[in-house]
Amino acid sequence: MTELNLHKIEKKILLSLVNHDKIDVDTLASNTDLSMDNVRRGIEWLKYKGLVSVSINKDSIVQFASEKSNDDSSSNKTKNSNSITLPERRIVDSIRSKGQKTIAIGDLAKISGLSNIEFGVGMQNALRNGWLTKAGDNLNLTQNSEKPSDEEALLEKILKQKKMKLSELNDQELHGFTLLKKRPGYIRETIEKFFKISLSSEGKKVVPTIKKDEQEGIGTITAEILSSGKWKNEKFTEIDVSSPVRSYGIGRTHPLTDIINEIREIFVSMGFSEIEGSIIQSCFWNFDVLFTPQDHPARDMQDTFYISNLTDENIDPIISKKVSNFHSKEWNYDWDIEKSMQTVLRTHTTPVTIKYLSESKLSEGRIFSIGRVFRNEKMSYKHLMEFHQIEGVVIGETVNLRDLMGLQKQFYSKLGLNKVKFWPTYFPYTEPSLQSMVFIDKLGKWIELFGMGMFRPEVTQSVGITNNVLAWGGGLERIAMIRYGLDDVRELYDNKLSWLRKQPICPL
Amino acid sequence: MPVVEFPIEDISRIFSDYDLEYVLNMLPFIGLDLEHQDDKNIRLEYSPNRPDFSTFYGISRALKGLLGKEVGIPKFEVQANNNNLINVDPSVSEIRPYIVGMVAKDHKLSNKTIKQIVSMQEDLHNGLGRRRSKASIGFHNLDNVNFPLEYTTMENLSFIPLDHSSELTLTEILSNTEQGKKFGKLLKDSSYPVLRDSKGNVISLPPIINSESTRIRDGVKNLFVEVTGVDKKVVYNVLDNITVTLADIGFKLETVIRQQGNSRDTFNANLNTTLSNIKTDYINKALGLTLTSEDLIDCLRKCRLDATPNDSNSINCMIPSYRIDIFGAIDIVEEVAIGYGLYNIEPSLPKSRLYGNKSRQNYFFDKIRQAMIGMGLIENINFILSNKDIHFKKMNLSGTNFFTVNNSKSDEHDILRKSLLPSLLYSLSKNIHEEYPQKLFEIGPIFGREEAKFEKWSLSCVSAFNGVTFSEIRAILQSLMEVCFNAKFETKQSGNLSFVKGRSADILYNGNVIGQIGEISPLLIDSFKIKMPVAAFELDLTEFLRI
Repeated sequence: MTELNLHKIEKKILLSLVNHDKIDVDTLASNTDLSMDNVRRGIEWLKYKGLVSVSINKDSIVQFASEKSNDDSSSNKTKNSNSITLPERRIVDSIRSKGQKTIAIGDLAKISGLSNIEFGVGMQNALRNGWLTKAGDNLNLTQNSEKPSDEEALLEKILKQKKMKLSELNDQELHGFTLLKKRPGYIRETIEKFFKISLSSEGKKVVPTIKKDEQEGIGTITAEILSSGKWKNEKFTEIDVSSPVRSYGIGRTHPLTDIINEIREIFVSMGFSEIEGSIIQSCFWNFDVLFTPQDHPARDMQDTFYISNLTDENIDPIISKKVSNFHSKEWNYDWDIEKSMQTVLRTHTTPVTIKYLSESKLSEGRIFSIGRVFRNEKMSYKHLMEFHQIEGVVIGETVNLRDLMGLQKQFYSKLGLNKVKFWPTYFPYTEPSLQSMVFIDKLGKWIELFGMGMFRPEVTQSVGITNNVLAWGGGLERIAMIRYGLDDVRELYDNKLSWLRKQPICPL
Repeated sequence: MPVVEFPIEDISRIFSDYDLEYVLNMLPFIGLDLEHQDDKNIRLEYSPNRPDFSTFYGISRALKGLLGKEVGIPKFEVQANNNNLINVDPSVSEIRPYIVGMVAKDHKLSNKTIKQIVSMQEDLHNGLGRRRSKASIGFHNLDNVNFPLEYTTMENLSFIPLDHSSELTLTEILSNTEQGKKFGKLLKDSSYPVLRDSKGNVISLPPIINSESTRIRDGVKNLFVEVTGVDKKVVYNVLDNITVTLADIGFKLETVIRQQGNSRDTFNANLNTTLSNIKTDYINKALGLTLTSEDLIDCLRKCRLDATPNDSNSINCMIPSYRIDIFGAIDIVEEVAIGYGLYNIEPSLPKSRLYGNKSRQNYFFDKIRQAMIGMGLIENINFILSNKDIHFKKMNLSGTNFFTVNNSKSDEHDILRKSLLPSLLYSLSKNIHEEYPQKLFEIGPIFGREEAKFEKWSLSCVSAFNGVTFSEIRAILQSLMEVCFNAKFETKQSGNLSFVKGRSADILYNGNVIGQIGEISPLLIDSFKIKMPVAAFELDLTEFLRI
């Protein structure tokens, strides 16, 4: 087989695996004399090339009960960074420190300095270990007391290795483990995952092709190598430039923000200026000015979020008089100003538009807004109770329905959507009203996107506008779903990091 | 949106001289949305302002117009018949004052037609009739109705209601039948409106239920229809729509006379209103077209209206009474567009060329986002509607001065968020299996009653990983303030209960508190089940940027 271009690290790992099967990462690091990072990286590369296989084993791990409490001086278990002294050892040590071999039990309790409980436990274990023998009220120190107990043997081993696999303990240590586990505060047992590395069958074929006479040279270029000029006389080792590496965890804006910004740019490029407005609106601006009768089903609490205990009594008397007249005359009912003072979470961005037109007295211009709107709906894969709406508005003496259609086509084409058709539809505040259908190549079908129309004279006259007003708008999430290939619109608001980290900022 | 469903075969039969595909493709151009289509049936959505689209007959009427097969206002005869009389008792005037009727004869009803009629009745009840509160309809088998009728009120009565086999009393109807429970509450008085025939049989208890004895079924040939209600205009509009449909089905129509005291009146089914003197310029200017009076008249007749030239610059337009969607000249503009065919209108671009810009506010927010992602943070977008559990209970705060919405369909979304931090912590709790460090931020509106402004913009940031400290989160804030605004701020110890005691601070700018920063209290880490230390800040952008 042809020789693969392998990195030095990879070669070291492969060669070291020849004589070992299912070796763990730590061992591999010490066998190859590589750093843990390099070993991990090498394994990643080799796994990608299919030369090693990685299996996951679970093992019980024994370690000190609390790593951090080692330096906790308030603990009366006499732990320090060097050792743990069990109470039975402290008992025999205290006898020995008096230079005696025999002592009365009563005296021993005093000189050991242990609490009653600890002394009791210590005595029990010292006797069981055969370190002390009882003779009446006296205790004799034995030869055995110079040997470590099984518990101590285990503790000694943990002290050296920090963590031990249960499966690697010898019989004595295992016995010590069984005893010590029953005594709270010394050791703990946890389950940990271990990666076992083996050569794959492909890897076994590759190993013989590796040239053992590894070329010497400069590996990682360091500041010292540069300043010493060492690089002038030595070769640089070759590295594997074809291997993928771990990606950076980069910061990013939310995909919805990206689409909002893209649409904002499209509007600006078409000569539109952005306006902002409140999310909480009075019914007056959200519905009444927009010629939506007070008994219209859309105004039901079933469909609209009304704000508890908040009214907006600041209703313009001149506008409200005109609104009242139009409603009473054309919808044939008594318009009630109280109802218009109720407040809602805006159901669309049009109240922002009409308020702006009313206040600014703009007679020629192009404006747009992008913002959150609300519907009291049960959330499902295709409905949200709050979403983003975009709205574009043109006011002018000569603007007309054909212009509205043309602007709409231009807007869509800037989004990359070139097949558009228009159907008549109905909105209470526009006439004529159209809906646009757009062909989405990715889905292979026509979908309904933005609605549009010219503001009715009842609307424009109420706020003192004489020119025609063209408006279009609609939800943004639908476009986001198509772009990011989502079937469930709720995913846009889940903030799942796995999803956010993965979405292309600039989908092709 | 209401829907109408019928067999496709009905279309191919009436439009046998056209390609079916072509006819079906025209449906959206009269304002109908295809909701479903299979081999046999088609289901369309129509706008609630077009109740004349509630049956196949109405749709066929409009399609014939657009295709040029039959144009202008539909013509039908209504015979006068003095025997068809309803005596109206003055007692109804306080409860449900209006009643109008129509008799339709000599057409054998099939189940298919009944289905269309029932669907129309349902849609008229819900739409124009506003769930029967403004108007309700009864269809009856004329052969079991004996004129003259009496429309009066009663406190006690009993009859066999529709779909029942035995007599029920008024009380039983109100408390035991589905319709009684649903519509009985529309009437508040102790006496109820009743329509009785000359033999004393109750034929209808409007708006609740009809009598079983006058039920319409397969094979019935003669109908009596009555509409009652509290809004005269709506009552008339409802019968207008029914009448034209019955005429289209093929019935011969007869008037019904209404007598109250000495005054008599008859419902006029052929009433047209005229919009006079609509300038051709007005229409052309709105549409961007240059149509002549003749063109305009042609377009309007295709929409089943009529029009005549007024003078060289204007037309008069006639509108049949069932077209409740037409208020004034601007509605005629739309009719012209539909009659002309939207597919025939060439899009154009306005001549004005203006220069646009994004808002100052969003300019700032974009810069903040740039700085934040430069520090490796990931942006979140959460819902504004939240709940007290996440917002206050889990945050160890007693919630005050927040906004609640009425009747939310979701318990998890019934208050307006007062800050962004709770949602970010919630977001961390949903991501505990993802790789750390997790550093998130969000910019969004928040809401509170105590402020002069109810709505403010806020920026919040959380950083979660093993070993995160106050210094780490302050470093993010500090870098943001330096890089974005070259702004000097201070942090001054505070006692915010969501943070670790002694590790929280107010953020001060020009002496004003503009936010909070600190290490999140383990109480919160516990309640959110985050399992990892978190440090966070929240900054009032409205106050800081004076936007």
